[in-house]
Amino acid sequence: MNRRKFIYHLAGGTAGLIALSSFGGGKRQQKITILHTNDTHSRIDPFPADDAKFPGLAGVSRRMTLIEKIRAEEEHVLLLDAGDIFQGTPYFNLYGGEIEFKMMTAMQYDAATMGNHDFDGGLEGFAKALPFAGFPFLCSNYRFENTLLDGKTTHHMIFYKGDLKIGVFGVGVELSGLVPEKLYGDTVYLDPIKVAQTVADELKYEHGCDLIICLSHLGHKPKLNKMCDPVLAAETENINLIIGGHSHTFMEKPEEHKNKAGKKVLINQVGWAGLMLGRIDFYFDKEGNPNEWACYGSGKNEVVG
Amino acid sequence: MKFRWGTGLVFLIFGSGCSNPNLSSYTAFNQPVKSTLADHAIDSVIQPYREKMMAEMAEVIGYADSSLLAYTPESPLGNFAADVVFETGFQYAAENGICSDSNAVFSLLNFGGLRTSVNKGSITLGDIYELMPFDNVLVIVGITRDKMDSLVTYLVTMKGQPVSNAQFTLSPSQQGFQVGPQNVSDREVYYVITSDYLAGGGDKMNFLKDPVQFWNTGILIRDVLIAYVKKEKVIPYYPAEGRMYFP
Repeated sequence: MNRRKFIYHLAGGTAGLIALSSFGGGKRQQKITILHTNDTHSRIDPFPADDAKFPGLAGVSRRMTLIEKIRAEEEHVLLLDAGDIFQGTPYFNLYGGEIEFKMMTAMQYDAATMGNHDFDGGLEGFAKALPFAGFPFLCSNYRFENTLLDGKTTHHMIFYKGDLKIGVFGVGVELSGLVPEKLYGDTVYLDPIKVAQTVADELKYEHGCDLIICLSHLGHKPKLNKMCDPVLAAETENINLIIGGHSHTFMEKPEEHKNKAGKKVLINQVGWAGLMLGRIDFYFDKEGNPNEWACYGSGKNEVVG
Repeated sequence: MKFRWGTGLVFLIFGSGCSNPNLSSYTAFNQPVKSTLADHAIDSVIQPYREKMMAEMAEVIGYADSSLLAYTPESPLGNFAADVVFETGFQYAAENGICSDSNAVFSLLNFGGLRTSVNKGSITLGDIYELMPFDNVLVIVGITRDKMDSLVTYLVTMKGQPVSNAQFTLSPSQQGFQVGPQNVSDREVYYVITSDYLAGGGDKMNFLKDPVQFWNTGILIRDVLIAYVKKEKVIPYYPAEGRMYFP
């Protein structure tokens, strides 16, 4: 144990002591706001005004306005993305992902995971755009050891917000049959459910995370992928929220599922193209029952798509 | 030792003595990114990228009479794309001595690969890039009769995919196919005009893998669509006509 680490613990402890005395150990609420997108697919500009499906909607500039408004109102915000940032407009064909990553960095994304289309420029294309991303890519079930992405992605992360520890990791879809082999090269795909359980257990029991979030690019529909989010939810435990992608599923509000231990786990996904911004606020207090956390309201807003 | 002990004490008091708050509730509010939201100053960072992109992509190459959308089992956008790919691919097959019998050649695409709609009105180069952003290449694969049965089963599972010059019967009680105008369904080899992505087993099209014959035209499917729109100028409506047939 070195001196710096000791001081770190002591400092954390002191902060805890102040908080404890000011609330007297009674009911004490903390809040964390989770914002998220998925499958933004290079949609930098809004859809054109004459678009048959989404006239005038989306656009990163407006998304940033919305995010800044929420940041001004909330103390603790995490902004996350569940993959497929690349491909869909000429911005990607011309600039290879540079502008997508620059904009996400400007919006202060905390982390993202890789979707299948993030391999569309090959591993080289992703690596080339990566210097423009001022946020980590969390990839827990892709192994890049034998590729040029070795060491350029992160397995999982813990974010410290207030007194809360939030563990975040990412799982991606099987690439074989979905992405041309020449694009993903020697990337090794591991069973996302097994990996998710291992990481979630580590975040929970070794690191004592208060909230565990899985960024998933597995999709919501078994037709698209047998190992979809509802299966991931049902066959694991210790995950509180699955932020989904891949299937472009528009949800008005998160779905509540039961995990392997019969406890609640949420799945939320917001379509594609940055048409919507997902938002979930989690509340923590001394009297909360971690197994039966309640929903105090959700969804009433209109849903595009 | 001193520091180790100190850390342990801190953990004792604040780790076990004072447990963290529990997750107790949540609220959720997924919200649309509407056109009424103001543009952010960040737009000035996008602007140089946008100008260069628009300079290349804003060229109007044709017009659509109606909006064309993609959906299962059969849709105007799917029929449009499959027809254009068939026209180009069949011409290539005939000119290169692959096959000139229209009862043996058809095109097959996937809905997942048609990334946006074609909107009524002018069609720009950028619109076709958004419809077909991938650098997929037009290929022709020769597959055996038994693989055609696998294709029928696949189409039942997927609830249809875009095809041209073929009809597939997909009801639970009756399944089959017809390629071209004549009802001859016992050929040894059928020629499928498709993309290199699908020919490699993409979108679970495993029946296209390991074909008996394979030709790579080297032409991007996006370029096939661009050339067609430029040539035809006006793109009509492509109504569903029973290419995916459910008797």
